[in-house]
Amino acid sequence: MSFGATICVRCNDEQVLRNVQTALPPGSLPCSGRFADVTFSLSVRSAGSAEQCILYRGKSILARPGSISEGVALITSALHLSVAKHSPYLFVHAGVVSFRNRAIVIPGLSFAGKSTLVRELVRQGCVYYSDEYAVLDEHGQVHSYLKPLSLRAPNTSTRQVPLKELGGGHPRLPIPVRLIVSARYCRDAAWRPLPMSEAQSMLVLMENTVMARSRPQDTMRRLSAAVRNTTALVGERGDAETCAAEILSQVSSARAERFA
Amino acid sequence: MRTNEPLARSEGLLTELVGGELVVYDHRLKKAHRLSETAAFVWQHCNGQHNIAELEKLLASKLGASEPAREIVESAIEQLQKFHLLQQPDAMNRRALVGRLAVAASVSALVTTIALPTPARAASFGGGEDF
Repeated sequence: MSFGATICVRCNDEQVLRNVQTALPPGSLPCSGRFADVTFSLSVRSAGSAEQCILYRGKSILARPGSISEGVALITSALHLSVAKHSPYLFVHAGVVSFRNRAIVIPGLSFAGKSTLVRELVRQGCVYYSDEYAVLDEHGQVHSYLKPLSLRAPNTSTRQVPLKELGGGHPRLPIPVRLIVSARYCRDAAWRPLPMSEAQSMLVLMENTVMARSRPQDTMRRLSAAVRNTTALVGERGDAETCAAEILSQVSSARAERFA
Repeated sequence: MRTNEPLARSEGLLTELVGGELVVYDHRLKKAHRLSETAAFVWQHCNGQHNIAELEKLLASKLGASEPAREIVESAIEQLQKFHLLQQPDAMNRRALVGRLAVAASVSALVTTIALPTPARAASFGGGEDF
């Protein structure tokens, strides 16, 4: 169980199951009982030098991964997304750091460069909350979603930054949002953001909300609470180090009163 | 009721007032819209009883003389129609309504819109598969 979502994971190979267990969603706890929101099964067979894997959701075949490692990666992905779909919390695809106990939220889909910016903000003194989801409660406060940060290298391979390099895996307190940064990576761009209204920033968050279509009322209620009294900026950014420094400079000076 | 006049759609919509602007979710089209304060004012007064000239007067009394109420109302009506936030008039009335609109290009976007993502699109895991 993670964030209130109950997910059953099965595998016919103990070693493979242990590999899956090392990458469970944050805060996962074992639970008993027969009810699960969704059940994933990974069937693994070795036939000579070939590995045969089948990933099931319930009784339906979801995928036929080409190798065991691919199967583990796929079921791990499925677990994270299933938590986002079945949790009573609202999951917004975003990077999150804390600055003076207020959240800086960086919404965006894959390859928008948000993990790089999150990594840089942490390097410059912010507290790591997530590089994947802003998890919102009914008051619009942000909870951490602590998993290793995934940085994509130019050749598209992924490098994991372990939690111990990100301030550790201890739980963080839920915090209110104070800054929303919609920053699209564009090589050589200077960070000259434009302000967004609260409603505009709410649309940006909605565009990245996992269950926005099936829980629109809840989405609107939580997001309107989250964006209240926030500052929101949109623009293109180049170098992450420079952009992070400018963001922190902006929130430290002109907006200092809002972060106090 | 004067049915020729602009009438706001209400069925299948959720609204939330956010910082003076309005966020509208359209169940049918799976889209969300942000209406500027003036667009929201125009939309909320599209009750089928006010023609465009009357909407202009109402908006002018809200904005004062400094803002081009006529251009704003025309632009708002055009954008609200485009995003299906007005009841669709029948063909004859649509022609009559469009004929009364001479939208000024100088008026900036009063309505912005997004399509809401499917769960898989809103996640970075697994290359977009919907688990």
